[in-house]
Amino acid sequence: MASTQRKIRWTSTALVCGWLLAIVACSVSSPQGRELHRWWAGFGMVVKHDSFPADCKLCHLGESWNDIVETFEFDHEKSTGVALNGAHGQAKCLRCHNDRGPVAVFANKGCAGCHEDVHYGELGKDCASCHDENAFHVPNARVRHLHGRFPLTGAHMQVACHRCHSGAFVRNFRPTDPNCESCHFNDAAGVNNPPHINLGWVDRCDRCHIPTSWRPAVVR
Amino acid sequence: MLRPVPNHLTLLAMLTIPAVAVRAQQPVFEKLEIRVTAAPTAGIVTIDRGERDRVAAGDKVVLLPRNGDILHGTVTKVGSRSATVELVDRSAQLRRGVRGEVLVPRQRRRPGANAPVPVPEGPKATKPKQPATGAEAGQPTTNPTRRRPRQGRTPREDGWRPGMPLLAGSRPLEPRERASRTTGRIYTAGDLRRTLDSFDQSFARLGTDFEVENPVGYGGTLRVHAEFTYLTETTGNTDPDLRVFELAYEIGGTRYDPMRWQFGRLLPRDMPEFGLLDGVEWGYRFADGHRIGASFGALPELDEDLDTGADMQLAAWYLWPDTIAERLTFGVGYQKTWHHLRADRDLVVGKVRYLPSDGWDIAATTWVDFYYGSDTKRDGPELTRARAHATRRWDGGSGLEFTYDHEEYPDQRRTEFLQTIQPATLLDAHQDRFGAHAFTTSSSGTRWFARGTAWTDQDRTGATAEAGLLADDLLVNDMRSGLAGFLVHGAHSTLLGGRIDHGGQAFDGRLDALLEIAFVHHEGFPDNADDLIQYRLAGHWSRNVGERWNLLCYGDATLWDTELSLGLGFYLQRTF
Repeated sequence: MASTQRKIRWTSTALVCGWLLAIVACSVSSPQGRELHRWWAGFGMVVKHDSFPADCKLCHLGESWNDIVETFEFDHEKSTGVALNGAHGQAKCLRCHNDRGPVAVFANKGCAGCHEDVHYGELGKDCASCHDENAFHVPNARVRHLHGRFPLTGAHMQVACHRCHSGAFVRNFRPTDPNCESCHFNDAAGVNNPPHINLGWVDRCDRCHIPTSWRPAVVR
Repeated sequence: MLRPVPNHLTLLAMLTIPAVAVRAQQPVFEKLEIRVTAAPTAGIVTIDRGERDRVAAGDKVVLLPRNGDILHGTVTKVGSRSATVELVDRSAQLRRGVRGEVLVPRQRRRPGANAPVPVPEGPKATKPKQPATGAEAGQPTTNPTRRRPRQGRTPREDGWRPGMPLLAGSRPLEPRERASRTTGRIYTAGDLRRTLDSFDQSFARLGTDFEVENPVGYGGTLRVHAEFTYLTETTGNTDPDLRVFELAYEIGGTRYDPMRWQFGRLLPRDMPEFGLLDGVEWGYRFADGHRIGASFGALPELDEDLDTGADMQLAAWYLWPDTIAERLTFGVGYQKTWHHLRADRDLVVGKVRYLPSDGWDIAATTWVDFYYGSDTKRDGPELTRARAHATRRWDGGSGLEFTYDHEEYPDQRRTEFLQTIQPATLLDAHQDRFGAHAFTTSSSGTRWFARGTAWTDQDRTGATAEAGLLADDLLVNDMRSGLAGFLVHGAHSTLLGGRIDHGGQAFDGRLDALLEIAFVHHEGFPDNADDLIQYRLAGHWSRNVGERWNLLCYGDATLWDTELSLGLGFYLQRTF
């Protein structure tokens, strides 16, 4: 078993190393130099400029079209009617206005129009029911846990998410079986006084233990 | 006898007459695009055009709000760079940013018709670099009557000459022609949890999540998300790990290239339901928005180690949108997996999303497993997982949310679950849950909400209910405070409790704190151990610490019976 895990880890390490090697190789064999955004020469912009003021220097530095003046300000809500709230106010223009197509098409899809579904579709498309626009962190996740089969009480309130939701580190919060033995089977197997496994105590832990704490057990 | 008309006069007449005719056919008015910059009262708006654009009182205006209405108005007052417009519909209330057009007589727009247009002052430009590489445009040379280009941009720099249109003939840069650009974040986090009976665990994380556009000149995008985690388990064991969540290179899939390739450790874009993948994904988007795709590779286990290599998969899918705007989308996909090269799972995912223009958001996804010769499941299809929601939000801060969940355990060889799944559980364990959430905001800013959930599984049924409000200065001045009460009937416990929370600016940042008190009754226990009161105090504080740095600190304490548990943590992030 251990050798299998070691083999799997070597495989993943080799995969990562191979990737890094491929990236370096691609960098060396780049087909052309990277061209900066130039003014004429047949090039244009991703963001339409036809309604912008004629004085380019209001926004751009003279030496490079990619550099914006430090004093640049653009009131997105005032100019477009769409407010940029929270972290969206800090985003660079090209994060939304880019090659995928008209930004309105993607904005109409809500968060999923731009953000990957990192929950693998398991939690639906309504991101705003948990997240706000300031950060991905969900500060009151434990409060939301009330509305399910397993309201968190006692020690369970302080357990890290990944202890029950094994995929939490990769944002997979698939529901977990609330029966005690689902998580505590190994705990029961390791107890010798009394020997739970030998006595056949492999389920219905709540006959003796309360969910708030593993100790003390109650003899009924 | 008439003198013959000279040839060159004939030629001039031939050229002039059609030109005059064409000129006579030109519209009398010129349309200028405008934006609403203010809407102080109903029926009156301010636009971003004024005298410098030759707008004058009496000019007609057409406004085109996003809801599809067409509103007419007249300019009544003109400033240097703005004008006031009275709408025909005096009850119309518009938002800032609404687009429209003002009709300006072409005669007025001709050069010299009025005073010269002032040129806005901008920051002084720095001295330009050497001219850029070859300018292709071979347009007329300088005109002595025109102004020389201002300091900071020489004519040879980009090939532009006075008289040439500013943006005519341009095209956007293709991805492979753009400068490489990196955006993302680095972060570090720590978390420590402890109870009085020596139950403790902690973790420290240091990671980065970034995206490099056009990293190697082919126009693709490199995505990297990796972190180093040092985990201490409740047993005291430590587990340092380098986790790679994403390391993928994507090329294509833009408006220039309907075909898309992505390879590495990736999340399938069109069908994330198939999970994280170490392999390659291909997709193609047709002109009418239909998309097909396929992927092949290994499935990392979705736990903290992300081990890979044990499970392989092959998948294909098809997405059907009603129009290119994708207001209605259907998708179906098939995934075949192998565990250590033994046939494992036949999974069909179907999904639909409907976005009617009135603000509803409706989506549903189903996972159906097909079994052949399973030891515990009957042959044929089984709905393993389903998720549906319908959400409606209004501008004023009100909304409705409905959700439905169904889940069963799939019979598979893959190691996907942390828990030990007993055969009996695999056979009949299931859960169905329906939830509803309604909220509304009054004119004073007070938010009222109510939430309810009903669920059933193979053994029990239960329900939860919660209602409350959130208002400014309710309990603490300059903070937004909330009161809520809840009743929860869970699988093992029944809770009746309440919560007070506050949020607002404090200590140069934002502070949120809550106190929750619940009477807990544990089902099926003797009277001396089944009831207790549980207190929970939690708070988190965040602020920006320097440009693009953000710090979040949190802590919570739970007291029940005679025991106390504590949790402390922080999260520090810098975006770039």
